[in-house]
Order: sequence, then C-alpha cells, then structure tokens
Amino acid sequence: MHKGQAKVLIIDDDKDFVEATRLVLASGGYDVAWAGGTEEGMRRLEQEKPDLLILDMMMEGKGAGFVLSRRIRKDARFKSLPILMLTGMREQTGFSFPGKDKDSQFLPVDDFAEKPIKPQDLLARVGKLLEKARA
Amino acid sequence: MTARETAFVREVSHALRSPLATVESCLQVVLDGYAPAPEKQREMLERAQRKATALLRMVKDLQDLSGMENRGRSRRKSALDLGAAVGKTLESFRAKAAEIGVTLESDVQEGMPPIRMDAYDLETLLARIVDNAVKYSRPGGLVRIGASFSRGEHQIVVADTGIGIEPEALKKVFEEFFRSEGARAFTDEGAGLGLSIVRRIVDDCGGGIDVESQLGEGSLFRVHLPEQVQGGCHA
Ligand SMILES: Nc1ncnc2c1ncn2[C@@H]1O[C@H](COP(=O)(O)OP(=O)(O)OP(=O)(O)O)[C@@H](O)[C@H]1O
Ligand SMILES: [Mg+2]
Repeated sequence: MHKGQAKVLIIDDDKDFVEATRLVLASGGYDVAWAGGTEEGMRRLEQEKPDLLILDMMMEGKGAGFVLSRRIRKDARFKSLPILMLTGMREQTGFSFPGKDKDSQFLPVDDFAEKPIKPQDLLARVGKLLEKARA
Repeated sequence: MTARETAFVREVSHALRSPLATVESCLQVVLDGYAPAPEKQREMLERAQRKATALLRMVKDLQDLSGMENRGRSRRKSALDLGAAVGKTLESFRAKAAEIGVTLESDVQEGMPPIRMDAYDLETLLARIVDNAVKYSRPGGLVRIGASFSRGEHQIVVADTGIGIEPEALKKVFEEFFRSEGARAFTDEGAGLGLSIVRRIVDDCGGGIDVESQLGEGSLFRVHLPEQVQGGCHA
C-alpha cells in the first residue's frame, strides 16, 4: 500500500457513515481521525494535522460543511490541505466541476462526490488527491 | 409548486437521502469485505438497521405532518377526557423516563369539561411534547405535565429541567427539520419533526403553543386549545 500511513480526518455528524468510511480507509492503510461537528473539526485539524480532509457538506442539516470549507481555506495553515467534499445533494451547490473557473472560489475544495460513495471510488479519489498534494 | 413547497420537498429529500446513503454504505462495506470480523459485520448491519428504523419513523412523521389523514385513518373529533389522555401518555413514557432516571409528575385539574378533537391527534400532541421533555433531560431530571381548564380554554403545560434551548433557537423549534445545536450535540435521535406535527395539530384546532426556556436549566411548553371553535377541530 505504501501510503506511508497518511492521515485522513473525516468531519461528518453521522457516526454510522463515518464508521463505514473508516473501515474502507483503514483497508487502504490510512490512519483515520474523526470529528462530529464544526468546532470539534477545527480543533482536530489543529491537533491531528491530517494529510487530507473528508468533509460532509450538509452537516448539521444546513450546509455547515460548506461554511467550514471556506473557513478552512481562509486559514493559512490549511491552504494546501486537500479537501474531498461529500454531499447528499449536488443540486444544492449549483456546482458541478470542482477546480474550474469561478466555481472553485465558490466552493473551495479539491474534489467533490455524492453520498453514498463506492468504497473503490473513495480509495481512488483519496489516493489521487494525496498524490497530487505530494507532487 | 410554490417556492415554499419546492424548498420543503428539497428538505425532505435531503433528510431521507442522507440516512439512506448511510444504510447503503454500511451494507456495502460488509458485502465488499471491508469488515472481515463477524462481530464487525454484525455491528455494521445493526447500524444500517437503526438508520432504516429512523427512516421509517421519519416517513410516518411526514405522513402525520401532511395532515391529510392519520396513517390511513380519517380524523374524527369526539369528546375526550384530557385528564385520562395525560395519564395514558405518562404511562407510555414511564419506562423510557426510568431508563434515563427522569421523574414524571402530573397535575390535572378535576372536573374539566371534555375536549373535542381527534383522539389520535390529542395522543400525538401530548406524546411529542413529553417525548422531547424526557429526551432532552439528564439523569435526575423532572418532567411535569399540567392540564387545566379556564376561560373557555384547555391548557396543557409540559415543563422539564433538561438541557434547555438556545435563545436564538427558540423561535425556530416549530419549523420542520429544525434541531438546535445543543440538541444535536446531546443526541442524534430525532429528525426535528415532532414539534412541527404538534404545531399543525394545534393550528387545526384554532389553538396556540408557546415555549419558554433557559439554556441549561429547562424548558416549558404551553398549549391552549379553545373549547369550541366555529367548525371545531379539523374542519
Ligand atoms: N424539551 C425540550 N428541551 C430542549 N430542547 C427542546 C425541547 N423540545 C424541543 N426542543 C428543541 O426543539 C427542536 C425541535 O423539536 P422536535 O420535537 O421538532 O424535534 P426532535 O425532538 O429533535 O426530533 P423528532 O421529534 O423528529 O424526533 C429540538 O431538536 C430541540 O432543539
Ligand atoms: Mg421531538
């Protein structure tokens, strides 16, 4: 696996979804940390210094993950932290192609996927984002 | 659809979709072999099952909220004994309250006139308010239910010594799917539909509901239902 034990932080308020995701990531040799909300998420980011962040956009039922992604990007310490945003509803962002033109300003994440995400797809995306970050 | 209806449908589909995605993910990791240990597989299946149960409950609540009918039964008002209904509600919450270590008390005025409304609606109204009072209580807490009649109105008061409600959340608690930050941190049990159903019932009866709360100290919900409205409840 040669991931060098990269650390992934998941910020999501659904602990069952987190556990399913954790199992998949653990199978890929990743070290996984978890936070269930915005403030705990910020604390964990500082403590754990993850290599990648998986963020639930609709957290707390009202897009708290969306707000948090902007806050994280504004923070100099996390400028280059790769973020994979998961959502239950693409339509709510009016957003479809991450990293392209003005949308990347609107939703400042590196990749974007709908829930549920297939285990293989999750591992592939995480691997790619980490590779890109290392390059 | 009106803008409000569109917004509601969007909210409903998100509220259903998110736990469904979790059910799917929990099953997928078992089927794809990401949970090799049998105990872990069982745990993931149980997580999926709990989510499915919550989803079913949410759908039933949405049916109640739609107000067209009560789970297939049409509503009919009849003369009901409010004191007896309170007693029945308390009984149904005894076990849950005992489990948390919460004391239930009631204070029912004698000789109240009967209340005219649909029996299932009255049961639902009481149960959803008391459910919250118990659910948002800590061990050692106290929940009191009062029922009285004065000046042509029945009054129901449910007071608890639980976690309370943030001042900025007070005016939102009757909105569909609203759950305060404190409530979310306290328990992930709930969809934020109970009080919307209560408000729908109270509105149908031409009554009113209000709430007072002190964060960290407790909450008090007060319902008043006029004895006779033109056309009665649920015209
Ligand atoms: N007795 C109470 N103490 C503290 N907070 C309360 C109380 N009753 C209601 N609330 C607040 O109002 C919100 C809405 O209540 P409501 O009953 O509609 O939803 P819920 O209990 O969270 O979920 P559901 O009723 O669908 O299971 C709650 O999430 C909580 O924030
Ligand atoms: Mg409730």
